[in-house]
Formats: sequence, C-alpha cells, structure tokens
Amino acid sequence: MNIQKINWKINFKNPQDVSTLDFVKVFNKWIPQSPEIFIDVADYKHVADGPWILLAGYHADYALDNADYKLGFLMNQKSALSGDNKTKLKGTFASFVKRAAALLKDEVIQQKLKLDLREVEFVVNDRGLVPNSQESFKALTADLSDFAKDVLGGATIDFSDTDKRRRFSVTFKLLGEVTLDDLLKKVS
Amino acid sequence: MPQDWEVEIDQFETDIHLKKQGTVEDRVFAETRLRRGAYGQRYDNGKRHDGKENKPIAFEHDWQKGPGTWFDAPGMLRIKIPYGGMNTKQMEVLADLAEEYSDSILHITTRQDIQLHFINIEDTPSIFRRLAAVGITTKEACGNSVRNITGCPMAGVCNTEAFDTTGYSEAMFRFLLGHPDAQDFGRKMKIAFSGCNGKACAIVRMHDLGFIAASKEVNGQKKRGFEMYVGGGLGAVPQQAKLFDAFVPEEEIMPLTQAICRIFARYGEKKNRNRARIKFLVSDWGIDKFREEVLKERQILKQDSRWTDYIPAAHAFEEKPLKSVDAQLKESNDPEFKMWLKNNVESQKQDGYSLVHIALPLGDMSSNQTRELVDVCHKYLNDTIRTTVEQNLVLRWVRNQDLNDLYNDLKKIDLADCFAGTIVDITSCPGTDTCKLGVSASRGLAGELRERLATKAVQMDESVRNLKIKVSGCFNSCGQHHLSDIGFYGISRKVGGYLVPHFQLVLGGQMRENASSYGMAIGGLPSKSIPAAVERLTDIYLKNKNAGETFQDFTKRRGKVALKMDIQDLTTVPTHEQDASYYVDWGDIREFTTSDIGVGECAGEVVSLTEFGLAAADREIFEAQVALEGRDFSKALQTSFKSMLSAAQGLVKGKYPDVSDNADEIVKEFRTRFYDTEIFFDPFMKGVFADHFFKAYEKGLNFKTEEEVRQRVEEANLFIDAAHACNLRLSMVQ
Repeated sequence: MNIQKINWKINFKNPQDVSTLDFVKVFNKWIPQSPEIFIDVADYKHVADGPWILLAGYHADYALDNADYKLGFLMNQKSALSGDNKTKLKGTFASFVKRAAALLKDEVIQQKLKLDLREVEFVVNDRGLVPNSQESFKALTADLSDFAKDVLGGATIDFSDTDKRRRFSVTFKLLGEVTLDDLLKKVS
Repeated sequence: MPQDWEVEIDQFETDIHLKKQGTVEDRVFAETRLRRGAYGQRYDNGKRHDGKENKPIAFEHDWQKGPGTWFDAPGMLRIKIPYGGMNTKQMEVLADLAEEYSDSILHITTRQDIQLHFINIEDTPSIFRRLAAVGITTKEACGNSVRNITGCPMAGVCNTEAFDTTGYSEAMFRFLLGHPDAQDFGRKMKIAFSGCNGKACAIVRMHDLGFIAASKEVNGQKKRGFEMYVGGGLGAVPQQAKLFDAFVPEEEIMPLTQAICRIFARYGEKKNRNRARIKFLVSDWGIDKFREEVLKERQILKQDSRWTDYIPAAHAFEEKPLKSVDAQLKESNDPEFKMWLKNNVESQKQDGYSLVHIALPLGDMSSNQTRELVDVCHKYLNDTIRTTVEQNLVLRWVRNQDLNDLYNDLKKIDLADCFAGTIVDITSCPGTDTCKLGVSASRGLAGELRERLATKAVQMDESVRNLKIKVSGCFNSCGQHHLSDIGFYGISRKVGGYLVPHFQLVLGGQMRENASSYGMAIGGLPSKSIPAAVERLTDIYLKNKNAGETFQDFTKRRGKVALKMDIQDLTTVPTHEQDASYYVDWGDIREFTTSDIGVGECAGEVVSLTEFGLAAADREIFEAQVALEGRDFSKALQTSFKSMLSAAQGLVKGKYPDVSDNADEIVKEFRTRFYDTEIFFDPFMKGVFADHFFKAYEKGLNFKTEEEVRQRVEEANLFIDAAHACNLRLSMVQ
C-alpha cells in the first residue's frame, strides 16, 4: 500500500501556555529564512476544531493545530514522496521533528512550550490511497511496527478511530521516556 | 456525473499538461482556469513582503499559469453553490476536499459560494471529479462568465415571499452554465433571485441582473412572474439596479436573460476593464434604450424548450421535514439559549418549524466541524441546508420542539454562536489574507471587531446590537460594505514616510429591501482606530437617535460633516516612534506595505471566442496524437477532425458568434467566410491547408491504413497552425 500525504502531529503538554501570536511570529520568520518553500501564514484561531495558525508551504504545511480539540504541532506533507513506506515514514518524521525542535528553541517561544512525547499521531491525508479501514491497518502494520521500533524506540500502535469518513490515522503510544533530542538522533 | 462535466474535466487536465509543455498562451490558460473556478491567490507572483522588503519565493518551476502568475503557487478554488443549496453528502465531500487538498477550512463567500485556499493547480482535476460526483461544479465560478446564482436562503419557508424561487434559481443556473451566449463577456455577470421585496436575503438590487418574485391576476388566474432589475453593482462605482420590468411572466425570464447576455456580449465594453460590467452599458444607454434593444433581441431568438420545460418542476418543488410536529418548544431559562432563539432562529411559514442560522466567524468552518454538522443535520432535518450572503449557514425545517436539543448539539461543535445577523456577525471578504488586490486586512479587522463586540453584545441596546458591519479589503467591495450600517473598505495613507493601513468608513447602507440604498463615504481611519470609532459611533447613535429611528435615517439626519467631526480625533496617526503598532495591520506582525498587491483576476482575461476555439483545437490535436501513439486509430481520426472543426468554428465565431456546433454548418460557414474570400489563404501555400479540412470532412471517419491516419492527423496539425496564422493576420489588421 502506497502512502502519501503523511501528517504527523504531537500535542502540547501545556496547551494553556500556547499563544497564537507566537506562532504567527515564528512562522513569519521561517518563510524567508528557510530553504523550504513557504508561502504564507494563515490565521484561523476563530475556528475551534481545526488549524489555528497555518504555515502554508509548497511541499509541506506546518500548523498550530487544534483539530479534534487537541492542541499540537502538525506537519502535513503535500508533495509526492518516493521510495518505500519505511523511507517515507522516516523521512517525513525527520522533517517534522527538526521543525518541532526549531520551534521550541525559537526565541519567541522561549522554551515555554513542551511537547507531550508520550503520543505521536500519524495520518494519511488521502482517502483514495489509504481508506480508513482495518484492511489498511493490516496492510500497513508491518511498516508502522518497524517505524515504532526503529525510530520511536518502541511504541504500541493504536488504531481505534474507524469512522470511515475520517482519514486513516494511528496513534503511536511510546513505551519509554523519550525526548525530542532522542528522536532527532534516531532520524538523523 | 453528467457526461459533459466529465469531458470538460478531462479537457482541463489536458490543458494543464499542455500548459506545462508551454504550448498554451498564459492569458488563455488564465481565463480557462478562471472559468473552472481556479483563481489566483496573494503571492502567486513569486514575491512576499517580509515587513522590510519583497523577497522572492523560490518556486521550483518557472512555468506560469497566467501572466505573472507562478504555476507552483497555490491558489484559491471557488466552488459554485447555486442559491446556497447544499445536501449533507455534498458537505461531506467538501469537508474531505478541504482536508486533503486545502487547509481544512471551508470558507463561505458573500455570494454563497464555498472557497478553498492554498490549492495546487495540478490537484484541481481530481477535486473537480469528486465534486462532480455529488453534483457540484466549479465551472464559471470565476472569469468573464455568469457567476454563482444567489438566492434567498429562506425561499420556500419565508412568511413574506410571493412564492418559492428555488426551482427558478436552479433552472437558471443549469440553463446558463456553458450557454454559448454567455461566453463572450467583457467581464462577469452576477444574478440573484429573491422571494420578496422587503427583506435583505438575496440583495437583488446590487446585482447585474435580479429577480424578485411577484404574482399577478391574469384572466382570473394567479400568474407567477418576477420584478426584473438590471445593471446593479458595487465596486468603485456602485450603482443600484434599474427596474427592467415590473412583471415578467415566468416563461419569459430565461429568454429575456439570454437576450441580455447577447446584448452584453455584443455591446458591453471589452477593452477598458473598469467599465466592462453591464451597469455601465445600462448607464450609458439609459434603461429605456437598453430595454428596447433587449426586447428586439428577444424577438429574434430561436425558440428553446428549456425556457419553459422546468416550470412544472419549479412549481412542484417542495422540501419535506424529517419529522412531523407533535409538541411545542420547551421552555428554558438558559440566557444564551434565549439569545440564540432571538437572534438565530426565525419561524417558518409552516407551523411548528423554524429556520436556524449558524453564524460562522469570518465565514469559516473546519472540515471536522462540517462532518459533525452533517451528523447533527441527520438528526433533525432532511437535506435542507443553505449558505447565505452573510457567510453563514441556515438549517431549514427544524421542528420548534427540537430547538433546545439542536442548540445543545451545535454548542458541542462550537457552532452555536448566538449573535447571527447582529453587529458581532461581521461579513468580510478575504482581503490581504489571500486576495491579490487587498489593500488592508479586512479579515484581521473583522476578527478583531468580532472579538471585542462579542464580549459586550449581551449588554448592548438592541438597536445597536442589530446593526450590521461589513468589511472589504479594497474598493472592489467583495465584502459588500456599501450595504451595511457601518462599512469599511481598505485604503492606505502615507504618514511621515511610512505607509499606514487605513479603512474608508461608509455609513448608512441598507441590506433590507434587497439592498435598496448604499452608504455614504465619511473618511479614512487608521485600521487601529477603528474599534474605537465603532464604539464612538454606536454611542452617538444610541444617545442621539429619535424613537424608532434607524441607523440609516440617523446618519442621514446627522449628515456627513457632523459624522466626520464625530470621529475626527481618531484619524490622527501617532508617529512611528510614538506607536509603531499603527503601522502594522490587524492579524499581521509585518510592517504594512502595499507593494505586494498583485494583479487581480476578478476581471479575468479578455480571450476571444476565436482564441478559445484555437485553444480547444490545440488540446484536441494533442489528444489525437496521444491516441495515435496508443494505436487507437479510430479515436485519433475522430479527435483530429474534431480539432479542425474547433479551429474552424473559432475563426467563424469571430465573424458570426451564433454558429452552432454542427459540422455541416461550420464547414459551410468556414468555406463562405474564409475560403471563398481567401482570408484563410497562406501567402505561399494558398488554400492547401483549408483543403485538408474539407477533405477530412468529406472522408469522414473511414480509413484504410495506419499511414493514412498518420497523414490525416498531420494534416489536421497543419490546418490548426494555419488557423492560428490566420487569426494573427486578422488581429494585426484590426
């Protein structure tokens, strides 16, 4: 099963300390400073159950995201990926954690935000390629398990959202204490 | 999916492919994609101001998808929702598409469309197919075409309507979609249907063409018809539509509309884009001459059964409630619920049922909310959902006895805001957020005002709470600021060498009576002073109004000079050193600039019928070559002949726009107008290329050898090249 349009999301441990303005500032800095093609920042904080502050890019979007009322940092890979699923999973996760690390270390954020690294959410943003079904889960279990072991240092894979209208998603529940630096080392 | 929709989407996919190969002219592709709803978005010229300077965005490819518009740049997709009518299946698909291709936000526009942003042009054919599968099209959502037909969201359930206009709006949408007489405008045409004269709902008098339901006794029978208006519009030169006819019988609305399209296409301005709307033609000619020309044109139209075929269905159109009424509304002491009932709920003309407004902040709703709303709708109603020109949704046919539960369900998904249609429920165009023409941040201002006013709304006097605010990012008026009590449109001013975001204040417009009067411009205000100005003006109104005096009447009585004096102190801008925040727009952190304003696409590109014909020929000959490579010889032959027909028809249309799609007629007209006159003749080869066309026509689709097919495809290619050369010679002569 070919996976594309991979999304990664990690929620904040302290969502009460999130300031949407901080994200507007950080994302605006990333646009001219980054080698990635970023285009603009969109502010949707008035919409409850969705992206709050979005950095729209050509290959990938990043967002302060409150979908499902879980406030976290999200990456949405948009351009087509090549290679096997293992490569795609590791490659996109590497981009994601590097951006997450850059975000948390940014002088605007002043290290006041912490990611809740007990859980990592994975979504395939393409219902045509990967429908939200047990069959998809079965087809991807081996790749996801390898990723959990090799990159996350061990995690259970929770596939419980079986609403067919929603996108295929699993939550990796990490077994041990993991820091962002640990994850960075694993993907570098 | 209708077969013609399927074919057109395939054609557009080929157009994208050809654009990447560089074989389609930028402006032809721009108008082609606009007519498919794929619009430009801010920064698609490859530059973005970072607060200090314009920095390039390093898009990967150097292709363009329009003049000065990068192919890789994400754009906006406008999705037509005729009269705002949607069903739950469509809502689910829209939610999915927003998630998979956009940014998980569905934005409702001031003309009842839905817009998705940050869309890659290469994704559009897939999106179109998924929309078409549930009966939605983006065709002619932008460009120089008949745009979405707006309609009163209360049609069929309103107490004051003459009759339900739903079936008429739907039929008009289908009749005009792709209609040959609506393909050669200098600019767009907007049409609206309203059920009554008194309410605001479809704001007919600001439209190019508007219909208000009316009925009349004819020979003792009640006859349905419409008050018909023409030549309205907002923008820099706002004009109220003129009464074309106080009663047009229902069977005449389509032929008259068709005649108006033909008159607009023939006599409407095409070169000066600022005067290319129908309002200028009506104004230049006067309504009497305009009417006379339209009626003359009406007389020579070929009878079309579609003018009247739909009428029985329009009469029979009826929505049914999900459940029958068997109880009363339950009493509640919840003050928020009571406020919601007051502002968001209207009684239907059908006993025991209500229409519920869902106020969407800035017209936005997330994919998750949309799907959750679908579940809520399934509990309480059939597919009776509509978008509104105030960027909200309405749920129709809700039983009064269900209102308490519906409110609680909406509250769970954050869609139970209780200030629909009030001063808090601000309408705004996209402005600088995504529009290439935006001067100031209309959404930023609307969001800021909304947040501030919401905290005070409960305590507000009702006369203030019921005022309307509308914001546009520039004078083009997509936020419809002329129609609000308090309106704003974006401008800029230079102060001490710095640019400062401002808004022009417009007071005293009126949505009621179908946009019966426009507001008056008072003066420019710095963006950052506007919340204070709104507070000041509403206080002055409250303290000085006479009993029962509306805001419109009050502003007229007080006068422009006094109103300007009321806010004079707020026009002062502190120096940059004193307060730099004035130099940054709402919702932004960058220092304000207007240097990143792009070239708008609202006006589309003027592409002649000939150029469209030649572009279709290029696409078809490409398809013929693909078929040839795939050894599908029948298809190659068929498509190559079709490409010759398209090229010939394109040329003929330049002289005779009414030429049909019939091959015999095209060949005959081409022969008379281009071959016999030698206009088509190549300086050296004379009539050889035209002979290829005539030969292909005579031979039909029979062939003996593969070699013969190859030769005929090659001859089609030569004919199309000759058609391009002929068009070039003609344009140079002109």
